[in-house]
Amino acid sequence: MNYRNPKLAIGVGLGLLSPLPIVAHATVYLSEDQAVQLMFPSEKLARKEITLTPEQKSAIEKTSGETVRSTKLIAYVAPNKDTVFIDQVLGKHEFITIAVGVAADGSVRGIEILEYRETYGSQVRTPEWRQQFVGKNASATLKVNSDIKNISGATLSSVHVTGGVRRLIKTYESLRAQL
Amino acid sequence: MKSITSISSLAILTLLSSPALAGEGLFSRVYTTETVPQGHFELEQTVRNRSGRAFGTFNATDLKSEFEYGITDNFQAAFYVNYGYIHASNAPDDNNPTGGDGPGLYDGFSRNGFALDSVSAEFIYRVLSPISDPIGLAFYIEPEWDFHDIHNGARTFDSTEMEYRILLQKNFLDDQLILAYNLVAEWEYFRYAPGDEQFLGEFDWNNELGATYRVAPNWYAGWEIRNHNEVGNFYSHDHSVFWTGPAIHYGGPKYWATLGVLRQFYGDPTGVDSSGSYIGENLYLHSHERWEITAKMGIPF
Repeated sequence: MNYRNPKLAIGVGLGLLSPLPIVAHATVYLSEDQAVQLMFPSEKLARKEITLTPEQKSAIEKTSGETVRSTKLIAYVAPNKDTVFIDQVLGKHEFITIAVGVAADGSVRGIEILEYRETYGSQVRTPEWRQQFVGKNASATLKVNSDIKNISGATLSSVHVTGGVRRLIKTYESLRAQL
Repeated sequence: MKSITSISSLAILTLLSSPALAGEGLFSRVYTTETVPQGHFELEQTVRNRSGRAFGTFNATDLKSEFEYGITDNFQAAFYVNYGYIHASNAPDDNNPTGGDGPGLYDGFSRNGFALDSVSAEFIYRVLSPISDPIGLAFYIEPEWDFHDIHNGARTFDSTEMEYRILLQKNFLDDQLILAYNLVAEWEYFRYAPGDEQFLGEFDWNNELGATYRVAPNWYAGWEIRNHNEVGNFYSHDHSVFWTGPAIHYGGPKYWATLGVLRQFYGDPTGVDSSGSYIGENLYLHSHERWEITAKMGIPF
């Protein structure tokens, strides 16, 4: 019978993983200012911290179908109401920080992924995928596998980022008068 | 108990001493429908301690080293090696023809040592995603070649198992609450001596259900329940066993880790077996254990 010491069994099992190199994963890709500059390069936007009222929160959730996780919101707003929201959506393990630029007419100017810490799914950062949102407004469906393409292998990130954009477009619609 | 403590300490030490990691066995036993994305691979290590039978001493540590590869985003292949340590002293078991059973009711079998138990392959094909479809659905198949019986450590010859699973997963609350169910069917053929003309065989079918909730970024806390049913010689019900317990999961970008405990809370048959030896009070501790502690860790690439 080829039996040996028990400590060997456990040591071998746990030890197998220890010498492996750990792959580094980038986290912060853009600062808030950089994202604002990318979306509205010729404008001067002022940073504002906004607190949603319970009524606004409820209205946004109802119209977007998305949960508003925080009533605190960061928005960079231009005098003509061009706005960039900085917000977070759920990633698989951590939050994904996004910037969504909304032009004064309520259409999406662009989206940027500021922080992404997940193992997989970083394809949501590709310009081709993000470009799909440009020009969409509150009347758009904004759903994966409908007017937004799913990224195979990055489904959770695709769905949650898309839901975040939908929510922020509705947020803009709800807040426009007070911005 | 001493060895449980030392194994748990080793597992915890390993988890704490490693740099932060991500990925995903959310439970001790239950599989979700998640697969490794195309072109990526993952290394996974499982350490499982099983202890507590009806009489005598039984303590086994199962180790599994696994390599998973994403062939497509919905089709994953894995290969693993199962090995481990067994310490049994006058412990009961269903089958142990080469283990030196004593003539008395409570002589049981005794065996100590480390062995290569089996090698297996695993293929998972996901049909529906729990994120973008109403429910997640995947099919699992696992052929295994056995060299030792993990229930008693006895050497086996030309022995094989084929396991099939239907994996279901439903996500709630923005994918923070995950409910997963596995229906498992397994055919096993084994013999304890190379000269045996006939294989022994059994059919197992299991129900495995787990629920886990993301309590904080990176952390899930869950609960699972496992029911195992064995049909001896493919036609007669031999026993049914139920375990339940918590599972804690950490997932980060560089590694993930899970620690789960399952405790047997019901077994059938119970009392004494046909030979008159004790198998547990409302428990089946003849060839299954009261406690199962599982630590898993995975590193995605």
